[in-house]
Amino acid sequence: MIRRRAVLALWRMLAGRLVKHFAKSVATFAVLIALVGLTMGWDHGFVEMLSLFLLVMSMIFPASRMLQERIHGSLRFLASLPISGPEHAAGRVLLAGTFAIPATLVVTVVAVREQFVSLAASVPAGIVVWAALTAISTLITACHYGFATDRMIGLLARVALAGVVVSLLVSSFVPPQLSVLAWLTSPTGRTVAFALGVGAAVTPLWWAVRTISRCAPVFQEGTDSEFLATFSRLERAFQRKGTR
Amino acid sequence: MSHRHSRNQLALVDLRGVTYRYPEFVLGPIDLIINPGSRVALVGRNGAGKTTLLNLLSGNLAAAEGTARLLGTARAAPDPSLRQDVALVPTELLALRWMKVRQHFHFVANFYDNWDSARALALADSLDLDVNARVGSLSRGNSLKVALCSALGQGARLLLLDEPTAGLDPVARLEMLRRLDSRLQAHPEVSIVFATHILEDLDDLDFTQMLVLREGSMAAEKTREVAKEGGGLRVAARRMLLTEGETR
Repeated sequence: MIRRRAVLALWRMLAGRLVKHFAKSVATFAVLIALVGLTMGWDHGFVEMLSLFLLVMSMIFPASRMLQERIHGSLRFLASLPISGPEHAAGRVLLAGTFAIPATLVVTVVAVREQFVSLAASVPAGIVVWAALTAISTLITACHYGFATDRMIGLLARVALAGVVVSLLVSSFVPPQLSVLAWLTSPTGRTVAFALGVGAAVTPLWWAVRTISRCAPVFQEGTDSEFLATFSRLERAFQRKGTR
Repeated sequence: MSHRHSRNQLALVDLRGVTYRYPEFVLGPIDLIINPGSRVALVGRNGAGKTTLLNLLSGNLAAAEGTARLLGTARAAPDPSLRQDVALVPTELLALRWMKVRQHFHFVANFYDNWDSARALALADSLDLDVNARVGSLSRGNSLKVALCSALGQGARLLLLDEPTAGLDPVARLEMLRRLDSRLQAHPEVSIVFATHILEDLDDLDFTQMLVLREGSMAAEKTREVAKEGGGLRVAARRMLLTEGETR
């Protein structure tokens, strides 16, 4: 039985954090873009490219921040609560969906207003972004709960591929003289790229949701400790490097 | 003990030959029965296996060998559903560091069916815990208080406390034990397993039973009545631990 109260509490807590991180990312990038725009001129192609790059990053950063939070003990905390696997999965899917909505809207509006792609192409692009972000968010959780490292890398590679497809779909900034990109912006190319993108994003999502649902959210002393220890080592190495 | 030989259907915990294996450490085989209302002290040196035993009792770990009946049902795998009725207070507070203590209580309230916010907040108040402080900024002692308030707030039938007095100042320690005692008196069906290094705890909370773990094995099990003849549980524990130290 899935308790709605538990699912909503999990969603509310995680969504609150994501919104905070998203707002911080957007604010930081807005300042950066403004500085570059004022320095180099707003009609410079580099500003467009930077804007799109930072747009994508502003969607990825919150997810990565959430990952860091789990490394700092949130995972163990959530695993210590009486939450069933289906409740946890439902909360994550709800979260990922909510998280993806603003990003999808932003991408769609930008695509339409700036005529980076046609209106018809912007909608599937938005859907792909939604699917990719959903996959990323749920994957992060699923990785903690039972994915083997090799499978995790394979699935993350697919999500990355989906991200590339998405960026290509909204990429009027790429030089049009490249024939492969010209093909990708043709109706056939867009259809193929869209299908690939959806497949690349939905497959790991399905795996992730299934894994979370089946897995009792119990902290696995062996695998999770190893996973967290690896990240802690990387973090310490990074901090040492940073202080030099 | 005779009750070992027949399965006790009413027992909260009934372990038979339970073993748990780490690569370099084996706990068990452990035979243990905990009835409703029991107050069990778990004593042993560092690395004796106290935390592993508590994790087995909480359902976080599953026995590699033997049978474990927890709350009347055999458990062959880690079982999160047990957490409604079993509260484990680990040595390190599990919480979201960015939350305030009050937020933490409100958040966990969503997951426990029998959560009592008033009880948790009253205990926090009596322990001088600032509920508006961020969890991540708390000292070890105050983090422990949060964990205790959460455990008592959830209304569990079995409380598993892993060295709960280790980081507390003397006043907070006595207050915590007093609160725990009054909670247990108000709800005599609630049982506790209290792992400790501080032998004074054995005097300050009226334990009915004491288990001594030694290198993963149950070295001794004494009831209050048996230990009374030799000076009480604290004296018995002290004697056993010192003997262990000398034989090493």
